[in-house]
Amino acid sequence: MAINLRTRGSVKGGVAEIKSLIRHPMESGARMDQSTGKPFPMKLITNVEVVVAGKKVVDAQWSANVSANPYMHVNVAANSGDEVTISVVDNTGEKGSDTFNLR
Amino acid sequence: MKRRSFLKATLATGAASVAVSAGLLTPSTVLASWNKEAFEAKKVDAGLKALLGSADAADSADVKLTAPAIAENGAVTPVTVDASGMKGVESIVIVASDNPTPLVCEYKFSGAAQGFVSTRIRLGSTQQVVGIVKAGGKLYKAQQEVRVTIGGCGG
Repeated sequence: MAINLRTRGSVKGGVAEIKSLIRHPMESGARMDQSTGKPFPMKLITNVEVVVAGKKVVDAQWSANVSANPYMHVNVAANSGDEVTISVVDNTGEKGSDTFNLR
Repeated sequence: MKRRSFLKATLATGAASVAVSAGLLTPSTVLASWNKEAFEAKKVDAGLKALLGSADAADSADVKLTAPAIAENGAVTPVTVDASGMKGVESIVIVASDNPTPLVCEYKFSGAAQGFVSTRIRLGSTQQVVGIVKAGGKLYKAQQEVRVTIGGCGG
């Protein structure tokens, strides 16, 4: 299964507001399962990238301090119609990406 | 597997493989490295040194940190760091100073990106949230205390 992302972006005054919601547990590996006494295995999005019109503009690294089902909002100078791709990868190697055109 | 989720999964992987073949997602960029030393550091200064090479940040009015004064649920605290008024912003780092591993996230910007990020973070207790901006090779910061009142009445 790929990581599920929902992204949206619209251009206002030459600046695109790119917002994404990602479905992911962001499990730190430290939280205990009360029923078994063992920790839940670590599952954490580590890297996030935003590509606008073929150029990488944002390169992010996340830790377990980012909330579960993360929300991210970045601003990029762009034109409407530009293609945006957001891709994420977690520590287990699971990936997800979403591509859309700016309104 | 239910039909709906099966279709979703096939569509998603299909889109990803198209993106790969179009050269949009080269494997090397997707498998970008993760700075384990920084994000698993127990001290703010050690983490910042591992990530940015320095921990000396000057207070700046151009860095605007927005966070709630009182967070009723520390697990989803909205935090915004806005440095779009600064020139040459290279990266923004968010730090939760009293969390077991204080570094939250690092955003590196290039090209058309503006020095702005808004996200939701976990806070274990009442503490200072710090936004650190690297611009022109120097570090600037803004910070704010967030009171976490788990199960409390917000008092």
